[in-house]
Amino acid sequence: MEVKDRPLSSAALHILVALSESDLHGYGIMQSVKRQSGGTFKLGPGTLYANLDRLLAGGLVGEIERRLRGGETRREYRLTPNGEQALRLEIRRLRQVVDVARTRLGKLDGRGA
Amino acid sequence: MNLQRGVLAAYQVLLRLYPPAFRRRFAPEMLELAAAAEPAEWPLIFGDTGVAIVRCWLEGSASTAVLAEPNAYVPVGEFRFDASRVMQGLVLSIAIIFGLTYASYRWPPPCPTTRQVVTRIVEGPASAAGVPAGHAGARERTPR
Repeated sequence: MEVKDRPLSSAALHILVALSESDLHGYGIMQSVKRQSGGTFKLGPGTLYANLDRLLAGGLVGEIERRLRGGETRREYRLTPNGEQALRLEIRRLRQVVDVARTRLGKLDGRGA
Repeated sequence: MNLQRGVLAAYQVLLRLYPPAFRRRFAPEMLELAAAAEPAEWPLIFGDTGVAIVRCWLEGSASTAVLAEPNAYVPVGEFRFDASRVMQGLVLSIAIIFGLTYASYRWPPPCPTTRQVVTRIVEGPASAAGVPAGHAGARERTPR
């Protein structure tokens, strides 16, 4: 089983979703995750960089140096093709879970009525 | 702001507890994040980083596996003391001592289900027949 075929942790999933929009630096990822979860999921720096470390090692995320106006450089993270594939697989997996859960809950509702 | 500077210095010390390869790669960015954070987010940042450090040592990090520190392997007998190692040991020891002190202070936790049992002596008709009041009648145990 390759890294991209494994189920993702919720933090890794949020990071990949954030990077699917644009390349981001660490703070940008944190803000994006906060926005996309409606403020319910706050990613701390420890969790963020532990997950980025694994995602970088697994080839799901790459890093680029962006040159800023003042001549400074900033490291940003980018979703790789493998990362995009992993994200699509994870979304498919989650959709299956949601479908099964919805069907079963529907049956429970029918039983209760 | 002195408080922010102090918090950042404490955070910098905390970051030194990461494995060297991980620290070299990510600590500057983590410090930038902490500097940009609101004071209300500091507990989350410290707590999250503390847990992540322990997990990083227990589970190993990808950076640690790929990049070993150049002087990571010192032959036995040639171990050198340096300020950063002493500082790491000091911070870790203080954290452990505080943890143990707090745990012993709080242990055992108050049991919310403990109820005092009171024995109430109900005077019965026997006392009228000359039996001492302490031995007369039924004893009723009432939880309060």
